[in-house]
Amino acid sequence: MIELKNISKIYPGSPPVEALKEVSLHIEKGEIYGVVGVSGAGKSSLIRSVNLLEEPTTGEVMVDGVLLSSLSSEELRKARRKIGMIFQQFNLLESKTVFHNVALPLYLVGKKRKEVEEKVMQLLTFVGLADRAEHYPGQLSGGQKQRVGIARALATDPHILLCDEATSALDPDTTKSVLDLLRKVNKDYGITILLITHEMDVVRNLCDRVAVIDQGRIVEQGTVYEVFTNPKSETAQRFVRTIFGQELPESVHQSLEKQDQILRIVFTGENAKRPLIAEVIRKFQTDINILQGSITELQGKPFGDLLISIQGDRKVTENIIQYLQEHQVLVKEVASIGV
Amino acid sequence: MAFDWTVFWPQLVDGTIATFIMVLVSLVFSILIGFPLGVVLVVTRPGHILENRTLFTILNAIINIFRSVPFIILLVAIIPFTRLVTGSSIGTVAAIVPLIFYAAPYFGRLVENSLLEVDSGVIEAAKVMGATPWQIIWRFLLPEALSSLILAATIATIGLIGASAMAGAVGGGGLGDLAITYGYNQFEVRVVVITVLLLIILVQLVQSLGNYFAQTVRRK
Repeated sequence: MIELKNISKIYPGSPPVEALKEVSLHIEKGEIYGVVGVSGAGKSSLIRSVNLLEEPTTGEVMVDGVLLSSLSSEELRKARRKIGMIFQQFNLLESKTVFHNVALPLYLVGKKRKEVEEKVMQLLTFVGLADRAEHYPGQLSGGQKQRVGIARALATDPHILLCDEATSALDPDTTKSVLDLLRKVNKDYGITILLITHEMDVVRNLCDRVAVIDQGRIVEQGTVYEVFTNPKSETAQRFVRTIFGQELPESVHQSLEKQDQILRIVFTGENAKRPLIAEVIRKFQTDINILQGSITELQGKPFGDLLISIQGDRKVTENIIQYLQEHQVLVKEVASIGV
Repeated sequence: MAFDWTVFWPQLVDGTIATFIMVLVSLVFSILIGFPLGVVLVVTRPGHILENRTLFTILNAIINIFRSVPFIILLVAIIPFTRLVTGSSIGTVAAIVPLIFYAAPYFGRLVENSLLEVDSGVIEAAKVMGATPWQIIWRFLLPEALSSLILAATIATIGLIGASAMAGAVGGGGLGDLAITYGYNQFEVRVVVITVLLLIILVQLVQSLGNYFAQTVRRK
């Protein structure tokens, strides 16, 4: 659906800024794909290259099997109508009503009045703002403005929706309702969604797959489940940690003794439901101290994360690790606490 | 010699009408010229929707040149051109030509400023919808800047009222002419006071009207 091949973007200047370095992404039809990164990592340049709001310095952008850079400006305008976009700051026309804002893309292509009216009201009903048609954006809350933005983006029946930090200006409750709406857009209309965000929580709640971007490079990508349960790059680990606060309380930290062996155990899928720790304690007749733990759900699958300390013989610990690994549980020895 | 008020009052009426004509006609032409000028200045600047460095640089320089010449000098400097256009270099009609030269670049700058105030995100949203440059100007930039454009026209009008009074110095007619002929040359202070009062009322009126319309548009 969206294919980025070796995209680089260099902003001229002294020194020139390399915002994207050889970025390649492949986004399947119908999926929700998230790109996460800190500000300045290149997310904004990345998403703007998909509709050529920013032209990559090198590399290819294919959307719906069409090489965008090969299009004339008229063809590009047509192609853009099939790639909707919503923005962090909503970018609505403050001087026009909600109705007019949503109708604008239709007016631009010269749709008839009656047709426009029908379509706009249908879209406003879909986003839950039919009763606000005659309001001005200044009279709406942030969440409502973003709903208008979504309705406007859907007006031209796009195949793709690009979300540029769409919930970053919203409070947590509103964020959740906008994410629910985006999920509905994906399900009901079958629209492929590409979003960029600095909030890992957005990725966790909405996305199927995720790419982590750092200093203009994609450092990791995979399903949300993979990246959350087993982040490999340091950047990804840092982002995952923002969700599952993995810092040990100071008092727990201090109570640990030097010879204690600390393990991080990640249960995924069905394993998360098994009483594996109890089995280990019985089988190895050892003391296990649970330092921290959580069980959450990711993409509908349970996911457990435990930090334990084992006292005693090093050999026993190795046996325990082996036993757990045989049961397809991810085990990592943690050298220093705080990971 | 006592001042002849019976002669003065009809002249005051004529002078007011002359001021109205000068301001209105030159305003219409200044908008007709200055408005597209301002739009072009915005859309041709680097990074904008119809970037054209050459056109932008040239227009920018021309406007600066006209804006830096004091009006009284402009008035005299373009007399040959005025004569060519109106057939005369004195009188109300002749005063309109330099007024346009004065106000059109000024209004162009004001339009430029108003349009630059529009959030660049709105233009981005327009591009995303597949809007043509023409559509971006008419359907996005101008509606969003409308309130600010009305205030710009108000400022230009008041500028023209002031300048039209100066045009009186070269026999342009109008209230400024009266003030100079009777007040300045014949030491008739009361005439100066009356004409200046009239000008003040005119300016207040224009500003209030402008504020009202700008506010009405904004409240929508």
